Amino acid sequence: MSFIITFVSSIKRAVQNVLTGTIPDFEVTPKDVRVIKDREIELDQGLFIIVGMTGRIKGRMIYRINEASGLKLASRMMMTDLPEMDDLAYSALAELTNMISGNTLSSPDFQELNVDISPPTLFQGRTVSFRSLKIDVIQLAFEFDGGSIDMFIAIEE
Amino acid sequence: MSSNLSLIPALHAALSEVFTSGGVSYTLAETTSITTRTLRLPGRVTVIIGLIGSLRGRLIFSFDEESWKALTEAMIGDEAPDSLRISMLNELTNMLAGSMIRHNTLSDDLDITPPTLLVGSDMLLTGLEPPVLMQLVTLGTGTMRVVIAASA
Repeated sequence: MSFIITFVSSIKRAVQNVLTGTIPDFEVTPKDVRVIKDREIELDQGLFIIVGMTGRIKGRMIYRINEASGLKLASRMMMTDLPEMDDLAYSALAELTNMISGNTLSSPDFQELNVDISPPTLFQGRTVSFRSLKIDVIQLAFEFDGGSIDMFIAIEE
Repeated sequence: MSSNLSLIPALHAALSEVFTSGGVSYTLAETTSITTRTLRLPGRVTVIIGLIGSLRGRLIFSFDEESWKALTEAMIGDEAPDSLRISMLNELTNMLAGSMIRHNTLSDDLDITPPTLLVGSDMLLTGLEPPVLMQLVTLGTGTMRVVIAASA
């Protein structure tokens, strides 16, 4: 359990570092952390971004971003008002999530766990759900001006 | 030879190893090259396995309703509950990916992440960096799609 607490605080720090470090004048606020007991996450409209982890710990981080938030975040990152989610916006969000995941695991707490991550895989706006088979899922939420991001971690024993 | 192309023979060897030992009959259908950044996958279950090492990317195994039925019925019968079928598919795709890693001749430092399983009726994979390869495999009256999207 203490490991999960370390993981959660490391993610919060990484989200803060990456977003405020990459995007000028950006503010992001962490919201509640909770455990998803039914181990199922729904996506109606928006993006699922999946980053796999392997090493001494194995599992995945999943980002869920609705369309308006994704557009806002990508626009802020590209410093231009993107009219719609296009390839540029998807690449921007893939890069951000890659940076957040990498930053989370490069903190001193994780170095000896030797965890490597796979590049982000993006799934777009349909009725899709993620099913975790054996393990609980931890949800973190973040808010910024004009949107929000949900993050889910499911780590195997 | 592109890195994705070099994984096709490894996939064929993995299918032969895992499906044959599991008593699953299958037929290799065509291999297609995906040149768009978006790919629609018909539901119902899609499994994503990350690829790490000198090749980085992901392997995606996608099953339509018919292929998912054919595969799970061949392995655990037609009365098994959905939860058991999903669990079996998770294990099977993990075995296929592991077998691909062992059979690949390109690199000896490849590793895989655990499978991540998505359930849905219609899935849109996006942000692909072409060229990406897709192998179609006929299972019963359905089709399993294996997307190989990795780069050196």
